[in-house]
Amino acid sequence: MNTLLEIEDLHVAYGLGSKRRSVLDGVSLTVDEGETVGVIGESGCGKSTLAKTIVGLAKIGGGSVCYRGTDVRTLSGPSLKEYGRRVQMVFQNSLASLNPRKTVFQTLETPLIVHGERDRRSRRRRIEDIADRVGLPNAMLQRRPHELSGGQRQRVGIGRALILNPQLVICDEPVSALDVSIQAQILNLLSDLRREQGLSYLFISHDLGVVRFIADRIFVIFAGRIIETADYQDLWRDPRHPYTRLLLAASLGESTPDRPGSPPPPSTGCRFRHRCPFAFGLCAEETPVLRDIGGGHRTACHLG
Amino acid sequence: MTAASGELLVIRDLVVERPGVRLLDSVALSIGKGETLSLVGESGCGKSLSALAILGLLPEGVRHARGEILFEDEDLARASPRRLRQIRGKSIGLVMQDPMSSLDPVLQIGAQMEEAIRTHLPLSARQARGRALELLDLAGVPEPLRRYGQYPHQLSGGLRQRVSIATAISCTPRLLIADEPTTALDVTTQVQVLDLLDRLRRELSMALLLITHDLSIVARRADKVCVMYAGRVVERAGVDDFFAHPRHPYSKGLLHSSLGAGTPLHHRFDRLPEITGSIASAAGQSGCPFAPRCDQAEAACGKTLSWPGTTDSRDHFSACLHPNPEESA
Repeated sequence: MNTLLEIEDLHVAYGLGSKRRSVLDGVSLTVDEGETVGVIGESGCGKSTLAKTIVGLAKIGGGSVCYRGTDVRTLSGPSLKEYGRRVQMVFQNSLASLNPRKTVFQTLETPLIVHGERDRRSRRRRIEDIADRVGLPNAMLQRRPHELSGGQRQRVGIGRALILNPQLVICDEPVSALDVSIQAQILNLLSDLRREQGLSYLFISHDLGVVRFIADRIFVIFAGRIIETADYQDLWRDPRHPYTRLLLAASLGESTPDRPGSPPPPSTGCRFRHRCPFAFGLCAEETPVLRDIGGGHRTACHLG
Repeated sequence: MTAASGELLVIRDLVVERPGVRLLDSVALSIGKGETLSLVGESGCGKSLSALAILGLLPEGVRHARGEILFEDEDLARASPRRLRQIRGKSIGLVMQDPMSSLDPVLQIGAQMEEAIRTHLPLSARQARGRALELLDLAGVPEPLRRYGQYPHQLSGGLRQRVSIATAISCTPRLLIADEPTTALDVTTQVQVLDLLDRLRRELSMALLLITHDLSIVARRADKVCVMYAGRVVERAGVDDFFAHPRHPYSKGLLHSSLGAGTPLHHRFDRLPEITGSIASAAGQSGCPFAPRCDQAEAACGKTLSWPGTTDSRDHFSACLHPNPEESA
């Protein structure tokens, strides 16, 4: 299978001088054609920064992001525009990511205009077609975001991302702001669209329960580093890293030994060690690296 | 439902409306002393409004039209504003979803806790400070003394929620209303906050009204469940009974489409079960509000003027025309 997106040793930091904080610290991952890759982690772990870096909303500090073998930093002009068409994003907060003064029609029309669709009738046809595919009745096209429900707004966000026929869609928590019964509708919609159009997704969420329904492979991020990655089934059945186990137990509602208000993750050694029930001397001295434990299941733990 | 001994809060036939729109319709529920009742439903179904009605905090333009809210046999729906101020924060505590907006950003943690404490308890500033520190400790806030002088933005989400819980329990209320207390938190923090609420409920023998949309929380934390849809209670049952034999089609739909970690993995390559459509306004609708989305709906469901429900032998209420016996498990 062809690799669509290849991220190699990505570093991203925010802030300047003494306030500079590393957000992503050597993240590597790949997304193949037609594949859905899940990324999970807690708030502040860097998962949204990862999404932003891929679409060019955050600056790459080190390492590389390659799309079909081309480093995205080398893109400019028409090639950058083409990249923007191929790689689209669906945001978590559909109310904040849609322009409140534009109707659904205008929101869906903008990308077509930007990408040079000059024929008005052809634009209308494509808009009606995409609205139909994402399950928005035509009557909704003249409405503005505040007149839509959360689920409908998220359908608009998905429609906007798909109208240019992208290959890779970055979904940053696309269902976490939605009601339970609507979450299932949107996840089904994303799966249908993937099947129909051969899309790839990079699906970012804090909820292992949601990610495992859609992802083929899952990456777990803690404090800017990938600490475990595996096939969705292996990760679910046999989580190895203590943090993944903690996440799993928490999403099952089980009580965990985790301490509130733990000190911030240390910058050297294992970043999880202050919260880890199994931490020992080596964890402070040596940073664990991702090691293969068979079948593509990799974990960054000295005990792994 | 009668106000038998042991019932702390009994709501009967509560109707709340805005001119022309009925927001809560014939809501009935009861919470026993020390019990956890979970109020479940999707956004806009009236869970939070029910909580506000109990506290006499209905928004401008929304009024209580009918029904009783009996708290320790006193009807809060008819209580004076002065009396309600005495009860709020003292006998009934409230924890809201987003601690960033329920805490005052320009006051130190300690100052806002002291204010709440001294409003209701005859304590000196010094005593109130001692009490606040004690409460922070009780709510599992590490280093209470340091946190006391900090501002909300200096705390993590989980700690902020612990602070608002500590404030809510400052007068050892008999009922704590927690409105989506963990929705804004990380999964790992969610569990800790729920554990905390559970521990405090036992230690202080409070009753807990836990408002949530997350059924996995209900399964582990509640004694009783009350499911709301479009301003009405559609199902009410003991928690074990509810999960073993859900009766109302909406509850079943919720249980099936819930993506909780308990759902078996083999669903993955299938489509997830979903409830089609979206919540329509129940305004002016005579029949069952769920009928337009219900796959068992018949002509009668849309027409019935009175909105019947049945209670089975296990005191399990379902507001559905179809009696829907045991087969549902």
